[in-house]
Amino acid sequence: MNFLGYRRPDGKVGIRNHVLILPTCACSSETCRMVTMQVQGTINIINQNGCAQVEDDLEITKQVLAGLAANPNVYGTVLIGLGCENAQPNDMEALIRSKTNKPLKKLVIQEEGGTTSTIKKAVEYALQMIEDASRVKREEFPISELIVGTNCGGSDPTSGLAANPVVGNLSDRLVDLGSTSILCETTEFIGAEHILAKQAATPEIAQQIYHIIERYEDHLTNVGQSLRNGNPTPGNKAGGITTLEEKSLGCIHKGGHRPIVEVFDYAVCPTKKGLVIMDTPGYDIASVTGIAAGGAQVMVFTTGRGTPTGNAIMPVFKMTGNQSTYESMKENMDFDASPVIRSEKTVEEMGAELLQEVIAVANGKIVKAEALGYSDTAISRLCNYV
Amino acid sequence: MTEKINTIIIKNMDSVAVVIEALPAGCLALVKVNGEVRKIIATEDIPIYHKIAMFDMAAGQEVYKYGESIGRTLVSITAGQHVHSHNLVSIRETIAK
Repeated sequence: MNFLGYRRPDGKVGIRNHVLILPTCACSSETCRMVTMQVQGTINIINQNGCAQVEDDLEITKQVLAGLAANPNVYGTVLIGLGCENAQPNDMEALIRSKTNKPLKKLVIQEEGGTTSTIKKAVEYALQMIEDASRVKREEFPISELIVGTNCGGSDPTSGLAANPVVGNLSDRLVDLGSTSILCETTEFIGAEHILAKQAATPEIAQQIYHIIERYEDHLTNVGQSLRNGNPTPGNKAGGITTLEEKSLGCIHKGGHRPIVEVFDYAVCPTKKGLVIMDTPGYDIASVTGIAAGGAQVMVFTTGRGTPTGNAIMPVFKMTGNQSTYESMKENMDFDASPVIRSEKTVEEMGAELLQEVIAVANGKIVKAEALGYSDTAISRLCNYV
Repeated sequence: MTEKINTIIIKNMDSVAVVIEALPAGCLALVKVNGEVRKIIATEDIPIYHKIAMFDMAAGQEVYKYGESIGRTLVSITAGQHVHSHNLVSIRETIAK
C-alpha cells in the first residue's frame, strides 16, 4: 500500500509542503504572523515560550521548535528571533541543522533594525522558498513511511465506545503495514496503566510506561497540585464521563492491540516502527504540538463534545462517535464513527474506511481544520515562567 | 417484534451500561448481555451516553466499565439508577501521595 508524498533531502517523506516562518520566542511571534500574511502558502505558529524559562523548560521549547522545523511536512524554514531571548537564534539555527539539512534562513529583529526591515527580508526569503517548494513533485512511497499520531480532546462516553476503538483498529492496520502509530496523553493512562503495561513488548517498556505516569503524578504533587482539578474536564463530566479511570480506559483504545515497542519523551522522534508511546500532557493542543515536533505527518483526533482544533504543520483529521456532535459541527468533523454505536457498522469496517481516509489525506486531501486555517500551538512546560 | 437496544454494556461483567438515547425515569433500558436482551427500568432520568446501574451495589463497592474499575460508589446504588459524580468517585484521583 502506497501514498504520494514529498521526498526531503534528509531522507524523510512529507505529506504537505509547507514553508514555516518560525519564531524563537514570544517576542518574534507576531512578526512571523505578519510575514505569513504577506506570503501566501507560508505558515507560522504563535510561540508563547522561548524566554524567561528555567533550563529544563527552555530545552523542551527548543526541541519542539527545532522538531517542527524538521517535521517532514515542512519544505523549509525562515527562523525569526528577537536577539536577547533565552532560545538564542544561533543556538536554534544549530539545533535545527543538527536535525535536518532542509532549507533554513535566520533573521534577528534587533540586528535587522526593527519590525519592517525584518519583515522585508523575511518576505524575500519566503517568496524564494515558496517558489522552490512548489517545484517539488509528489512521488509514491510505501505506507511504512507514515508516522501517525493519535489524540483525543473533548472526550465523552462515545469516544471510548466508538471513535477510539475505530482509531485503535486503524492503529493495528498501520502497524501491520509497517507504519508507526503514536499513542500519547500520559495523564489519560492513569487508571489504565496496567493494561498498557501488559501490552508492552518487553518488561523494560512496561516499567517505562509506569515511570512516565509516576513522574507526571509526582510532578504535580511537587507543586502542590492534583490532576483532579482539571481532569476530567467539566465538558467530559457533562457528557457522562465521571472519573479519570473511566476517561483513561476509553482513551487508551486509540492505541489498538499491537505490542508497544518504544516509550519516549515529549517532542522526541520515534526510532522504531510499530505502536509507540510519547509522554505528552492530556492537554490536547500541547500533546498535538509535541507529536508534530516528533515528526508525525498526520494526526487522527477523536472528540465527543466537538473541537475545531488544527495544527499548522500536520493535518489534524477529526472524528467523533457522537452523532449529534457530528451533525451540529459537521464543518469541523472529517469522519463520523457513530454507526458503531448504532450497530450499523463494526469497528473493523470503520477502521478499514478510516485507513482509506488517512491515505487520502496523506495524498493531499485537505482536512476541515486545514481548510478553516487552524494553527493551534501549545508547548508543554514543567513550571512557571521566571 | 424486535425491541430496539438503547443501552450498551461493554463487558458482560460491567456494573454499569451506557444509554445511547436519553432515558426518562420509568423507561426500560434494553441491553444485550451475553447475547440475551436484559430489561432494566430507569428509576430516574438518564441523559444520553450517561451510565445506568446494571445491579444493586453497596456503598464503597468498586464500579466496573470496560471490564475494569472506574472508581467506587459513594452511597448504595440500586439497579436502574443514574451513576455519575453524585454517587461514583475516582479511586486514583484521590490517592494521597
